[in-house]
Amino acid sequence: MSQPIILVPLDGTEKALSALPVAKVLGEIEHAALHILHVGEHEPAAQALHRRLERVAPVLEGFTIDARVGTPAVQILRVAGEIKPRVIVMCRHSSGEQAKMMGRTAMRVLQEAPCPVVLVPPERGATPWHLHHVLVPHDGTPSTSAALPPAAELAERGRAELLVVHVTDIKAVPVEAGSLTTPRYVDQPQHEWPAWTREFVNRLACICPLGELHVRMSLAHGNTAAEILHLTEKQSTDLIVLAWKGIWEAPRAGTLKDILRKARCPIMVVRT
Amino acid sequence: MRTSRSACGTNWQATGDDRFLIDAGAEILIETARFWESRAQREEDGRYHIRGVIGPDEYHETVDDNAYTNGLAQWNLEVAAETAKLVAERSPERWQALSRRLGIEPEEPGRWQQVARDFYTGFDERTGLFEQFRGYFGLEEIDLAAFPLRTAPMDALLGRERIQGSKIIKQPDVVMLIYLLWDRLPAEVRRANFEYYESRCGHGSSLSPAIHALVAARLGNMTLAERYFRQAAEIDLADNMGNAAGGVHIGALGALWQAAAFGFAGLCFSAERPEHRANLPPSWRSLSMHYQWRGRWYELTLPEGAGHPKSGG
Repeated sequence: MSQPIILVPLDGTEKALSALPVAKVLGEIEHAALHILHVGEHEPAAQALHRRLERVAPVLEGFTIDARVGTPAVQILRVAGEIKPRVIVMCRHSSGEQAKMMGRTAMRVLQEAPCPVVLVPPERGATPWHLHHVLVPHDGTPSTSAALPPAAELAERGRAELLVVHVTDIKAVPVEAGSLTTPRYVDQPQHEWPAWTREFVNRLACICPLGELHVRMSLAHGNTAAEILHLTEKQSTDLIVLAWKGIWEAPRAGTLKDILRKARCPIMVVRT
Repeated sequence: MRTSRSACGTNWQATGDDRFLIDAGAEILIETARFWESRAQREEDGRYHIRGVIGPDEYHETVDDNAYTNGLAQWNLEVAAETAKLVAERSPERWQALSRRLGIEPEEPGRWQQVARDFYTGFDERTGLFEQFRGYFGLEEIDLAAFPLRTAPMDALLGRERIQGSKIIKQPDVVMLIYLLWDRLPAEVRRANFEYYESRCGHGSSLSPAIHALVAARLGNMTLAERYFRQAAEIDLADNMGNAAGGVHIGALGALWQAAAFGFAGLCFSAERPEHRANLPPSWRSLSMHYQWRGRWYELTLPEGAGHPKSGG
């Protein structure tokens, strides 16, 4: 079996380099090679690119540098089709706007990539990254479970804790067949909530064997995105793994958009 | 505590078992009456109050003068005094033995009656409403109609703190009091309190819908009664909660039976015989059931025929 690859697109800006610390750690966990792809209007000098990368990521080992010219999203997707990466790790946007959710390139890559995409907040800069806590929001629907296998695999390999978060949101009423919602009636909360969370985790284990993974479950109430962001801060989350059906237009993807806009940690988006 | 006093009284009424009353039931009623006398505090207003309790509504903890608790405590004290008199009349020797064993003072039954008379009930003559507990009427009003499609209990949706500060209740509390003390309350009081509290009940307990079905049926609101009956039946029959593996809801099933028997069939018991005041939903063709009263089995079929003893029963 060939070595897995992590694709890291760069555009020559400092902000784009924020993806490197995350890609480095994921590469170590996955025993993957980093394929750094620079896309610009002009092909940069190889030496200049190497020097820049060494300056900001002196401990990067075994990476491949690939320089292409053209429309960034087109080139990124083309390369992804060629090398079939395990995951794409890229900066969410490289503009100066702090509150910007996503750049055009990241948006298109997210929508068309053949693999999960890890979006890194540019504000992270060169800050080292580690994977101790993975957070997976789960609304009880079968489609959300698509986020679980990659999250569990990463957490297990990285010896990280997996926190599954279920938010009871009055605006969100799951309609998928097979959804596990919070119980409608709770007669003995001291028994029934622990029993329900055990049932929830047991059902997840049917989808994705959890092995020796340390899994916790947290229940919250209120606005889904707000609660996830609150827990992310409170639990010092290093990575949020979100399932996404691929529909961006409102009223869909509201939670994803809010989290992308405000989360200070990287987000892995898994298309379902 | 709230289970023992009502179960004891109901058992004796249904069975007519004087032996049970003399040998066991009286002691239960007397000791529970003593408990309530000790638990209640006479305050400056001359009334007896019970502070720091949880009523049937578990969304509001550590409340004062819960109407259900006070109402049944009052009932307990009255019935204990009546029972003491009954046992003394029917079996003087057993009464003397019981009095000695329990250390019952001659003035105690009279004192229970006096405490019962002075018990604070939370009833407002002007509105005809019982205040579920002190301060309930000042809590936040939240319109439950804004959450029609909810799949979780209200305290999970809004959080414990907000629920505690609101009028939303988990399950019948004053409505339960109305059910248990039906004949002690005027019809207009029963109706006013049901209408007030039904709209504020979040049904966070599986026991809640069936009791609402029962009371709604007795009040003649058949649309509401049938809707709650169906909701209660679906708890286990529909498996729409994703927790069938946890087992059936036995308490809810028992309440469902009560809704059919005491709500739609309107079964009730006088001192002499069982009676029924049927309130069948228009969509029901018939209701039939068997029940046992004072050692005899009865077969009830509605709307045709009245209740009659089974042959050989």
